Amino acid sequence: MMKHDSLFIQEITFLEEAKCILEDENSSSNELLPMYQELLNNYEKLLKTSMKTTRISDIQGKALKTKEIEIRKVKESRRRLISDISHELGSPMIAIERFMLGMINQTIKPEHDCLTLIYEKVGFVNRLIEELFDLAKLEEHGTTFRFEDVLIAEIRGLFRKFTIECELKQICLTVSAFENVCSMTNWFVSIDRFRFQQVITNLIENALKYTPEGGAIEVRGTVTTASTLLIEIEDNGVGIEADALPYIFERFFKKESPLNPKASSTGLGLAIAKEIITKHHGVIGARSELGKGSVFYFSLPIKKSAGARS
Amino acid sequence: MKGFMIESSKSTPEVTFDPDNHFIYIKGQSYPENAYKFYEPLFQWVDHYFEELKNEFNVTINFELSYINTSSSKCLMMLLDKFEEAHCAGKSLTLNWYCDLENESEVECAEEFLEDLTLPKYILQRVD
Repeated sequence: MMKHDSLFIQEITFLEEAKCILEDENSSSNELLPMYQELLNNYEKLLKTSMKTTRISDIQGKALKTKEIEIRKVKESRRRLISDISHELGSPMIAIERFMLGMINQTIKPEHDCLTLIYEKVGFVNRLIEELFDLAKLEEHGTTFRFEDVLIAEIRGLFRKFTIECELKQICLTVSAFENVCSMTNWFVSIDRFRFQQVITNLIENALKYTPEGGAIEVRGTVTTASTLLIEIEDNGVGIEADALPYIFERFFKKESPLNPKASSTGLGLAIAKEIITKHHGVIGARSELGKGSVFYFSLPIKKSAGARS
Repeated sequence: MKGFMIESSKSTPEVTFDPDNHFIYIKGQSYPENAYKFYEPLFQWVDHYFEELKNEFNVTINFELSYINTSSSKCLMMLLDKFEEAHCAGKSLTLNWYCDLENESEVECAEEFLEDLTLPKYILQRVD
């Protein structure tokens, strides 16, 4: 019995009727019967082929449509990226141009403050270009990660180096004991040390930027039931508006710190952190309450291999 | 018997028929202007190969096709029919259809092509 296909309902009905006729005529001595039988067999085969190629064509059409949507998204993303880059590079360059022109016209004196400002703007443009290049490489899988197995207990130690920086800003950094970790002496996470440092530096520096003097930052680690290490960085700073929260990991998302409005930000740090954590097969996110503080978190899968290196 | 090779083009797949190692491989996209013209030499080669092939050899057939237009689908079905006939005639064949197992359309397409075959057949994850 052929698969029911409403597109071919007429042909299927015709075939079934023709088969009935053949059954009724089977006992007769009509010499055309063998030819009729052969014709019917060929018709059935042709119909099956047509139905199959139609189904395959439909599947391919569906796949093409999906690809088309993906391409459209990429085009839109590229258009937005070019527009963002033009804007981000344009603003400091316009400022530099005006200062330089002022100095050429001698309306601005080339004094220390002015030159410092130009120097900072040039530095920002350089940083922006470097980070853009880094993000592009990460997104295009053009970066080689050198993964190594590191004991979970060792991860905690990587946060201690920020203590001095926090003290200088009179912010108390607490790196709490990782929960459910102490007894698991042979549990590891696979990380690229350089890239991992990049993520935690970014998250701690962000927390420092949005936390007032006398505030506190706490780093916590927990082994969850799903065999992942969850690291949380909590601050009691200014917090993030609920409507901005879904976009903070998008490139060029920027929020001026009311505590430090002059601090320059490329708006790429969190986008880079997200790419890095994704490459580690983890998930990054944040929750926040305006005026109370934010918690940035990321997860890393745990390896329980005895042969892993520390 | 001589092998048969065609390099891939924008609209036709790479084809490798290696009679010494009993290996048949088709990889790429298939949407030539004239599908039958492209596949006809493949049909001839396969017919000739199975005529000469002794039953003790195991033939491995690997397909890795990302996009196939309608006329190419018909030609592939004709090729699969030839493999099925060889299998029914006592030849030993294994057909591996490589695709992205996470892509529902690709798996569905592979299943559609292979559903009527009785020869040993596997849908496997493509390695890029």
